[in-house]
Amino acid sequence: MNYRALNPEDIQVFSEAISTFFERMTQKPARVRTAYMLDQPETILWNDFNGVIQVSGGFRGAVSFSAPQGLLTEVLAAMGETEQSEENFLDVAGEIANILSGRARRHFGEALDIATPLSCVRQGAVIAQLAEGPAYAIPHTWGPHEAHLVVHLDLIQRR
Amino acid sequence: MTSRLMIVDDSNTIRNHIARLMVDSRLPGIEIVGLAGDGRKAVEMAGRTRPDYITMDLTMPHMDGEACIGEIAKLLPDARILVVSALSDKATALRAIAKGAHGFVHKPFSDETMIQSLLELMS
Amino acid sequence: MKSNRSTFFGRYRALLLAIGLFFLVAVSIFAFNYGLSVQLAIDGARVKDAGAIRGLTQQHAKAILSLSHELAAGDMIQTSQAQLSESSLALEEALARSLTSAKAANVVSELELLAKFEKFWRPLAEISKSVERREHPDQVDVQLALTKSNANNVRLMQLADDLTQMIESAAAERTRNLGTMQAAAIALALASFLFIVFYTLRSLRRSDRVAELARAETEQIMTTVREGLFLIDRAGAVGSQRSMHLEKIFPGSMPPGAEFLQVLASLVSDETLKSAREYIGLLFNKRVKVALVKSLNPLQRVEITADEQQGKPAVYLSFDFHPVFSDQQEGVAAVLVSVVDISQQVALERELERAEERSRTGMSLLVSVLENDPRVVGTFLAGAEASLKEINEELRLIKAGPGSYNMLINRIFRIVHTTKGEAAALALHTVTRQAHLFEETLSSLRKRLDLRGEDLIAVATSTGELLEELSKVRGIVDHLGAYAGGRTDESSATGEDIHHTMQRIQRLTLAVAADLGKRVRVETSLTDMDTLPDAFRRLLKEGLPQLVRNAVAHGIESGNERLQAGKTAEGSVRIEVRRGETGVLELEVADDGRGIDAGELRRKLVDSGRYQEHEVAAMTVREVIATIFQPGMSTADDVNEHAGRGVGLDVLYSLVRETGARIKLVSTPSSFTRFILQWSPAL
Repeated sequence: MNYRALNPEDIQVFSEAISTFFERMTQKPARVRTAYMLDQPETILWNDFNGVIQVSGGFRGAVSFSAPQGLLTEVLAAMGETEQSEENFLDVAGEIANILSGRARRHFGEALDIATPLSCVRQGAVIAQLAEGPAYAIPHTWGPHEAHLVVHLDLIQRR
Repeated sequence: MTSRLMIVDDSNTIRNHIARLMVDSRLPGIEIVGLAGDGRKAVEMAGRTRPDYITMDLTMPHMDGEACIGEIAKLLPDARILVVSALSDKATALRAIAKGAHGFVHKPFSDETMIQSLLELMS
Repeated sequence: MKSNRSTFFGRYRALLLAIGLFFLVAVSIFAFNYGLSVQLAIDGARVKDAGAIRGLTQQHAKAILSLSHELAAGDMIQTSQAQLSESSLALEEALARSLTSAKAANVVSELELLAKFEKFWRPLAEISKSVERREHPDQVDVQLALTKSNANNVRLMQLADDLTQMIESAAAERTRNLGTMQAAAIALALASFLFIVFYTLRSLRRSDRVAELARAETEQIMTTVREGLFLIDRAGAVGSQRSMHLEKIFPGSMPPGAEFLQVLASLVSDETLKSAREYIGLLFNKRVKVALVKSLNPLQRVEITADEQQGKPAVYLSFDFHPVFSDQQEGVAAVLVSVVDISQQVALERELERAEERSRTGMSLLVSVLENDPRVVGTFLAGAEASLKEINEELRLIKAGPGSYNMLINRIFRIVHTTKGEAAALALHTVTRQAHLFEETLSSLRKRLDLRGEDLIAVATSTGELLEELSKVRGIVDHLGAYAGGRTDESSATGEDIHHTMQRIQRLTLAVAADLGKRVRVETSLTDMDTLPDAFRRLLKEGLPQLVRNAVAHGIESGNERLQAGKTAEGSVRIEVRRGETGVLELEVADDGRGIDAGELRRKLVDSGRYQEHEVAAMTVREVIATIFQPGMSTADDVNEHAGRGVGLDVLYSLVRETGARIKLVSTPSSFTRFILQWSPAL
């Protein structure tokens, strides 16, 4: 099988979606700190709350958003939500995954098959490795907190 | 005359966010008559509360937004529906409009965009 | 609408007036005719009355005469009496009628005439009355009546004649006048009729001309426009008017009246068709704003699946839809569809992608690796991978801020530049190219002072891609290493090794040919041999790749060129290793390509500026051909991976010298080239 390497633009689509979410929902922008390759082949969910989308159909892999509880607490507050519950933390992570999935559909085309976003509670959970190519981590800083976007996608070369 | 608004979204936070936005923005005469977290509940609630305007998520459990739009359009032909979704591809938008939606807002949305879109929906 | 009506009346006013006049005239002609016939009847009756009066005066006179005779002769007088009474009665009646009609017509001269007649008649009538009623009339009375009658008769007759004539001439006069008027009316009717005909014809011709002109213009547009244009009506049916270009670019048939979506159904995927159906439905839906759906066109770039011919290049069309509004209908009356063929554009994009992909994975990689010592390549790989890992670690740990971003970019640039240099030295072109792209990305970032975290995404992916290239090379090196590991002692190469080498060379030959877009068949022939001396082994390892590259790049022509020269499209490269009776080892590489043309070579030598024209002219063919072993000399016209840089045969030449071998070259222009390396143990 022939896979196309991820372009920077492919990844930027997701980081922009996250930046836009923070900008619009909290009126406080998130900034990309850096980007690097992950050594580990698995998509690692290393923070308290994680939203994950899994992709197939001409593409394969996963994109995830991981954030610490502290960050989500402040996001809820900024959105005017007073109830600080685990359910609402998951809700935000899931909503961001949902937005990532929408962006992916638009960017990669409608042939993209996206499973319903998963919200995983705790760190340490491992999503089965779906892609072969390199996985990229893009840390976003928001105030004193840092959330991670991890993009691990193979794009099957269309002929 | 007040405008009756129903908010449909499977995310608590988004639902509450839109509701608060309506309260804070002090748009004249908007009354929130219902909040629904899935499609089935939305249809049931629409029949009961008869809203004039509805914001509608698309990806939801128990009947997705598209089916829900179709049901509500049959039930309340005069209700105007604003899709609020992270899905922003053409096919989805076409289907939603064909089913009876009147406008589209992409998630994530800014407060201004949401208010502007609702005002357009109501004009 | 209102304006339409007023222009309608404006344009046709003259015609309408003419038609009105025609009708008026026609009606009046009928009226005249009727009046004329009535008048004729009246006039006829009056002439008859006048004539009757004349006749009756005669009858009356005759009756009086017979009465007087009969009376004198003593005959029966009743008959004459009756005749007399009858004629005077009839005369009275006719006279009364004439008087009435003359009064009605109010003709003075006639009335005067009648009055005169009355004057002469009345006395006679009085006397005649006294005679006609008595049973035995007085002889005197009769005589008196006769005298009176005789006296007045001529006068009365004259008057009656005059009356007749007067009435007749008046009637004739009237008839003449009416006739003239009738003729005039008919002439007028004819004129207005002619005007109508002329006007109608003229305006018909004029509107025909305008329509013809418009039709010609439309046709011109429809035949020359470089877009497929047609209309879809509300029912989804395709209109009859379409641009010529449509036929050229639209692969299916689309007869007028066919349903557009049905035509489309066999040409696009079900999903696209579904979206298209919804989209077109929304365009006609007056509830949906055009602006809302305009950007959702699912047929903006659509692949058309033409199943008729396999292997036919894919057709890509771009459909654009414009709602058409009309006065007669509310909402959208039709949709104008414009179709553009974007296949070439798409093909170009694809070709670019493919070219990129080829250069990325390129078979040329194999070639480069084969030419190097795997151990050297291994060392390079280890170093490059370590530096890239280091880059990645620094990316991971970097603190946000333009200053630290800039420092890191500069550091990475130096590392990548070194890697590029090393890869180039090893002729690892794919790595060199990837490092070069990475370098370009970094160069543009180095110039900026406002770097942000997002900019590092491209750095991370470039690192990933470069690592990917390195790992491809590693894959090949590892593969070759497994093979090289089997023969640690180079001098003890076995026959098995030779076969492996040949397979490797065969793959290389095919790879080079594929890269250059040529078709080549490789044949190898090996005489069974157990051991090979080091020197000959070196010839095989270093010289053979050079020779096959040379054969494919310079010898074998392109498929078209070969066909034109009457050869098969597929070229042949033959590799032979043989041992002669005296122990001489020979390696021969032969191709059935274009051969070496000494004349052509002379031209190149002059063109390249290496020799003066007279020097070249003085050279023998042998000397000319020998120049191909000089450094920097190439017979290829353009530079590519495998030829044109002018290195190759000079490397071979030095190899041959170093190993103490000899080189033989046999070639016939446009037929074949054979290189033979001979190595003799005696030397």
